[in-house]
Amino acid sequence: MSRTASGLTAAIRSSLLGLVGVAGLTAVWAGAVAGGLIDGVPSPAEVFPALTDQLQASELWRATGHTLGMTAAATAIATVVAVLLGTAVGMSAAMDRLLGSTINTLRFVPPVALIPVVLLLMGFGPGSEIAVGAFAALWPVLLNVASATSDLRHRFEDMTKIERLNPVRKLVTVYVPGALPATITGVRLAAALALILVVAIEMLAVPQGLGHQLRFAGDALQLPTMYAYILWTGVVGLLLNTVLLAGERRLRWT
Amino acid sequence: MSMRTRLAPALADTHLDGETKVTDRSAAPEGTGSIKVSGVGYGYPGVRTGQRVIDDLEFSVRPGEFVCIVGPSGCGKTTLLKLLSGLIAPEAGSILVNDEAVSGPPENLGFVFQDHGRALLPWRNAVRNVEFSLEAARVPRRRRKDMARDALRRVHLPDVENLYPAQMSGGMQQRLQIARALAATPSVLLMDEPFAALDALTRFALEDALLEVWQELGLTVVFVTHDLDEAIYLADRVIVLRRGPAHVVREVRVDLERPRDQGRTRAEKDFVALRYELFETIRTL
Repeated sequence: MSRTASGLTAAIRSSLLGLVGVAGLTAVWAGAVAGGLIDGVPSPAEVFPALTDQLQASELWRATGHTLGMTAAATAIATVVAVLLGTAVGMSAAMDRLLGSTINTLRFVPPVALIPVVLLLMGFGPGSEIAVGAFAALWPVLLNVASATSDLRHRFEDMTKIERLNPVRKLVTVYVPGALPATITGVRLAAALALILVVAIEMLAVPQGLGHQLRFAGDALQLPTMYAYILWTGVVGLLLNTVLLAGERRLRWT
Repeated sequence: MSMRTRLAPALADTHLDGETKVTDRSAAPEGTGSIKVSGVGYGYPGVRTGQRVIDDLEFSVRPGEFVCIVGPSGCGKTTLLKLLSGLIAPEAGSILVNDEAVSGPPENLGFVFQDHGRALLPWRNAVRNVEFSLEAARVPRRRRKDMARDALRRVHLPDVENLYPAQMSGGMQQRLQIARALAATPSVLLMDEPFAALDALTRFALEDALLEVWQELGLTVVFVTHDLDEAIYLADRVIVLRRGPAHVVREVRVDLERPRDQGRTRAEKDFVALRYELFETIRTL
C-alpha cells in the first residue's frame, strides 16, 4: 500500500472515532432541549433538517468557497513570510537577537484586536479578511521554522564546518529539508487559526462567507439555520485539518 | 558482522603485490597526511587565562600513521580534536595539517563524531548521506553514486543503500558515518571516541573494519578513546594526555604485528604488558 493511501485511511479512521464524541454531545444537546434545561436553543431535530436544506442551497457552497479561499490565501501569505523570517532567525544568532523580542511581542497581540485597524486601512472586503487571517497564521509557522532551524544549526554546527559548506549550501541541503516537517505542522496549525479569524471578521464586518451567513441567519432569528451554519463551519474546519494532516503524514521524514 | 565478510572478494583485489599496506599517497605532495602540533594552548572563553584546558601541547603524526590519544575523562581530548580540525583556534602555538597552518577546517580532512546524530542527516538514506560529503567536496554528480557505493562497501555496508539512519542500528550508523568521512578520500581522519557507545562485539567488528580501510587507503588517523585496550589494539603509537591543563605525559610505540586479530593480538604478551604499563601511567595521573 502506498504511503499516501495509508496516511489518508489513518486520518479518516481517527476522524471516524472522533464522530463518537460528536454523537455523544448531540445526545446531551437533544436531552437538554427536550428536558427544558436550556432555553432559546433549537433541538437537533430542527437543526439537522435546516443543515440538509442549506446543503442543497448554493449560498452555503458559495460562502464555503469564499471562506476557504480567504483561509488559503491568508495561510499561503503567512507561510511565505514566516518561512523567510523563521529561517533567518533560526540560522543566525544575530537575526534572533534583532527580531526575537519584536516577534515575541507581536505574537501576543490578539488577532481579533487588529480587526478594527485593518478595516480602517483596507476596507470591508477580502483584503481585510486575508490580512487578519495571515497575521494569525504567521506565528505557528514562524515559531516552528525558527526553532527547527535553530535546532539544526546547533546539532550540525561542527559537521557543516568540517564539510566546509557555504551558507547557501547549508540552507539548501540542511535547513530546508531538515525544517520541512516542522514547517508543515506549523502550516496545519496556521490554517486552523486563519479559518477562525476569517469567520470572525466575516461575522463582524465583511458581508461574505460562512461568518456572514451565520450572523445573517442569527439577525433574522432563523435559529435552526444559524446553528446549521455553526455546525457546518465546524465540519469544514475538521475536513481542512484532516486533509492537511494526511498531507503532513505523507511529507514528513521522521 | 562475521569475520568472513572481512575477506569479501570485492575487497581482496585492493591488495596489490601481496603488500599488507597499499597506499595511494605516492602521487600526493610531500607532507600530505602529516600533523604537527607545537606549543599549543587553549582555554575556553570565559575561563581565566592561566586556567587553560590545554597547555604547551607538543606532538606530531607521520603520514599514514595511526595514533590513539588516551587520557582521563575531561582532559581535553575532544578539545584537541576540535583544534586539529580547525573548529576552534588555539590561543598559543601552531598546528600544521598537511604541512599547512590550520585556520578553519582543512580540505582532505574527515571527522567521525562520537554521536552519529550530529553527523548523519535523518532525511537522507545511507547512500545519499555519503553523497552529501561528495556534494560538499564538489565531486561531479555522475561520479558520486559510484564513489558513495564504494565507500559503503569498504565499511561493509553494501546492502543498506536505501535505509534511513533511523532504520539502522547504532553500529551501522557509525559505519555509515565512517563511510561518509572516507568518501571524499581525506588524507587525515580524526575520530572522537567513535565506538564508545557500542557494545563490545560491534566495537570489535568496527575496529577491524577501520583498520582494514586505514591500511587500504594509507590515511593518517588520530583516534581519541578512553579505552586503553582499544588504543593499543588499533594504534601504531599511543599518546597519553594528562588533565589540567592537557599535555603529553607519555608516548608509547605499539609494535604488535599487523594485520591484528581481536583474539590473538589481545592475548599477546606484548599487548598485555603495554596495557599494564599504560594503566599504571594513567592511574598515577
